[in-house]
Amino acid sequence: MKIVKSEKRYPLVALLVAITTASTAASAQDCEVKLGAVGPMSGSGATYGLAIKAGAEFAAAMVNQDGGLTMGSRKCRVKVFPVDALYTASGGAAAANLLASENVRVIMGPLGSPENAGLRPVAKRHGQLSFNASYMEGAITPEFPLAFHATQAPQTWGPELIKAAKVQFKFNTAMVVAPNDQAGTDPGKQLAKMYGDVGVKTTEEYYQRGTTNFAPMVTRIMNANPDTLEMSGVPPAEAINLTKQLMEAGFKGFIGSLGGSGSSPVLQGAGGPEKLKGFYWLETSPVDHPGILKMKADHARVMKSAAPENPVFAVFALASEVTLTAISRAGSDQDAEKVADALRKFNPESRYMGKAGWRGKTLYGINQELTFPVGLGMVVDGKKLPVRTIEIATE
Amino acid sequence: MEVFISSGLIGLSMGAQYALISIGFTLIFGIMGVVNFAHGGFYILGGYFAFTLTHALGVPYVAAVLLAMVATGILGYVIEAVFVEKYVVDHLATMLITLGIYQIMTTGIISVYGAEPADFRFPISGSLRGPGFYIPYSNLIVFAVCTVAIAAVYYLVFKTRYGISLRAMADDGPVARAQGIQPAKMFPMAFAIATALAGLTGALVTPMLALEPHGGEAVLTKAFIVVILGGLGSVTGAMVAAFIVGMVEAYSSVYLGGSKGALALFVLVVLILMVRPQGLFGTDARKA
Repeated sequence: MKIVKSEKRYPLVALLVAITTASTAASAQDCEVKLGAVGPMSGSGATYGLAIKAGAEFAAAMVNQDGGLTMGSRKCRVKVFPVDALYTASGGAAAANLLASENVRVIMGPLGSPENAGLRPVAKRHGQLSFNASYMEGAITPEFPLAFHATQAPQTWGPELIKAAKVQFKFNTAMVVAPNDQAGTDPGKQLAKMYGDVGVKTTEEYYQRGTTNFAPMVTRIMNANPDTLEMSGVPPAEAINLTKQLMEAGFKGFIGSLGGSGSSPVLQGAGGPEKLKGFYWLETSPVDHPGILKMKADHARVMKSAAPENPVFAVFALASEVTLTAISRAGSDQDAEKVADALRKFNPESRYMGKAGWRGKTLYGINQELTFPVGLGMVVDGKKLPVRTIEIATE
Repeated sequence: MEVFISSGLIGLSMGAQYALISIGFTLIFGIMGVVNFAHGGFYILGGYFAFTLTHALGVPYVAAVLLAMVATGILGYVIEAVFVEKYVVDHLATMLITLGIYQIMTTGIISVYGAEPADFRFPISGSLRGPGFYIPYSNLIVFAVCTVAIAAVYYLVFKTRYGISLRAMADDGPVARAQGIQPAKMFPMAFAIATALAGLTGALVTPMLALEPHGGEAVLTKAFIVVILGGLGSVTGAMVAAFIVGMVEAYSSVYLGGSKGALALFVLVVLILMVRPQGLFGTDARKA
């Protein structure tokens, strides 16, 4: 046997170490967990879709900073695939198809009701799981068992919030304003009924989505002179515009925004809280909660930029955190059934908001709606009050 | 009665805006036969130019509007000379080229400014109030500026040698060429005038309404309605049709509501086109 002299062994050993290290590094780089993010990322609803994307990317970054998501014996980098669904049904369907072509089986979003209506039958065909934040009737149903709900709809928090607003502002008449498509009429009709249930005489006013000149609508509103104007389904950019034009017209009533926009659009349109007699709004995540403040601080640290103001960001940061935990437990991002099963089997928990649960059986027939709390904000006589946390019961 | 007056004032204001945006659109079609799908893009670019000048560079609003108009005019001149001129006789090609240019514009705006609407406000707030009605000062000012601009365009097209040459090209291109009128000199300038008008409208109107990357699409749709109703290529027709559209839209939206208001406008346009398919001034104004 020929003996290799020692001075010739070292290069060989070094080569073997290099090959082993390189192949280990190559395995970690090859391992990727794919997460889709779907929502309106252009047009008047762009704030929503970009907040969904930001929430998913933040959750991914928090996991990636620790080396990746634990998938069995290895860690895999999480990559987010954002798709603009344009707030339309065709956009939602196209998003599901596009993500399927990229082998993305887990989708955060969509938000718009038309998007959800278009996405979920296509997602069902492709075996994709989705986590929507739509307010449509039947946002989740047993017909689409892989569809989950990231936030609750008006029927869940509406009665409590409207009652609290009525106690504070003592209004007797209301007008609900929303776009004349499903994303506007579904929550619009729900809210109109809820206002009516507490004795508020309510009318509904629908307009063409994409309207920028609200002068005719403002004239109708001023003529009707409601005590309060509910702008739940109005997307952020249109809410800014409508509020601005209402203020110019001299509207003196209260404004409600029991939807997903938060307070920013109305406050921006009005020119500040001091310009408003009374304003009440839903925060889909309670923005003054210590957990949400910590989330925003972490976002600034990890993403090197401020978190989006729209509360939909926190909704999807939480939903993405929960989903990534489920993917880790399932050991797969490609088998949506396994991920869904993992989701159903554990009580959702977040490093920011603690433990939550599931609900939805009574309203939708399927218990797949997250129960992280929401918030109620108010401006009273020009002063902005701290956002009140409203807990949501599990079923 | 107050609602009736308010609706009329709204209609006039909307009509003036539609007139300014549509005149340029019909001018390009009438003279060059080009359907400019990038017209809405120039409107939005005008808004973003003015926004950048006022917010980033501190330029006074009035100067920003004028500079935005000049900038969109120059851009229009360059685009016509470089991309459109070569294919001006091929209508399908020019449609596709201008559509592509619109996509580049909106994508460029999104990459620089983001997808969300910009916070661009009219420098003057408040409203003029009368017994039971109001009109924001911004609307009054924009109405006045639009009226002056429309008058200037009218003077240019009907009272100057350049305008006579433009109308000659629109009326009968080969004869106009035989008379020594050169399309290569006329077309880029005509395109520039049209895009400058679109940019001016954008700089004036977007602070009142909304400034966002895809805002040009709705504007282009309205311009199409106005131009078809008025008669393709007819400047007078565009002006009259703009005010008809503005008034119908205002009154129907106020009295019937937002959804039915839009429907009423389309029904009216269809009825008029059934009676006069060439538009209201399709033939007469072009021979004026």
